[in-house]
Amino acid sequence: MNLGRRIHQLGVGLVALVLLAAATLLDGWLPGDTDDPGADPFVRAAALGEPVDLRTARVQVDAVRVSKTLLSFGTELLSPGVWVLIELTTEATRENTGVRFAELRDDAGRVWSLTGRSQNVCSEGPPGVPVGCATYFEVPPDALDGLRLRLAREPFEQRYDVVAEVDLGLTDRDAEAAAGAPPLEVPGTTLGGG
Amino acid sequence: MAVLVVGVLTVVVASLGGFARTTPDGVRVVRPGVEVDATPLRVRIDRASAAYEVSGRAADPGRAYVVVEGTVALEDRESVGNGVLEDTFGADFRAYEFGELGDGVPPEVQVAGDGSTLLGLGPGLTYEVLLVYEVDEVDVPTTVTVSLRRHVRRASSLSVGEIGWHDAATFARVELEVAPLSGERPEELL
Repeated sequence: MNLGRRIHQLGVGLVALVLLAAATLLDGWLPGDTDDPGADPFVRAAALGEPVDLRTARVQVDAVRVSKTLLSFGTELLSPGVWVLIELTTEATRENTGVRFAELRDDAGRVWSLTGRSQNVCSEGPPGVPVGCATYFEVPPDALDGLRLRLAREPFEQRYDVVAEVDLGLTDRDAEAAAGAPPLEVPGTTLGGG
Repeated sequence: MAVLVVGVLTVVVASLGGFARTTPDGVRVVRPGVEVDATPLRVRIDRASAAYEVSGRAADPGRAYVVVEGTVALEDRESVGNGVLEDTFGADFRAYEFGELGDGVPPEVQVAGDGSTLLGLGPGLTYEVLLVYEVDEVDVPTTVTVSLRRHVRRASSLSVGEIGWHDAATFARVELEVAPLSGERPEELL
């Protein structure tokens, strides 16, 4: 095999590798088969005590408490992490509506859904009547700093819908304080505010 | 040169677990107390025992519980539900589910510290758990083999656009002696 032919073959191989690398890079940029960015929910950021309009309901996070222990139906639930209990007020505007979706997200991109022992005890309410309720999750202590709560009306489908994202205002100091905090009692649902 | 190649291959294979003991079907045998990757979970199976009562709940007359102790944690960034948790563990004995005795019954996963039922878990949390099986008292096994399964993350075949954990497949087994029932059923349980 002469030198010229060998150089030609090397050149073909090099071009093939460059094209393969470019195609791999491009594939990483293109949307996946299941991506649907047009259907992404509309996220509305809020702080504690700030009401958020969810189109057919309003929701406001009133208070957040943390502890290692949560009381549920008289049973003490001990967490290997930290319990986060969030008190909300929701108010339907047009028809019976409730906030039935809730999840926590941290700065590391982790998501805690209503699985395991986490629960949302908020129920639907009639239009114009404030409903006081709560939702609670257990998370690792290192998640508290920057933890955000997402709330929406529909439990299984948030595409095209409004989602409230509330910064819970927790820090690492809250994680330390949770170890000595008293057990959290889940408040009952109230109607009519006050 | 040949010695060097053999040496490198030996180190690479050993580091990837290639010399771990396997069964004829290619499934690894894991010792009790060893933590393993059961994607998306990380689990450790420690010991097994038989009991008439677990977490304050007594077995019906003629029945008892087989309790497997261990730990479970989630390696993924998003919570998983009860389906993934239950499908991770398999047992080689018949147990009751919804009042019917059958094979391949999933365990009730309880949090060891408070006896509450764990229906899924979130990222970053490691639980001490009890895998609880209800069996006939006369059929309490002396040894159990707990199968561990891994899941694959892929798009759902049923729900378009939904990504989840599917296709649980056994990759390891843990063989345990079962600590026997302690004497007779306590009188208050009769």
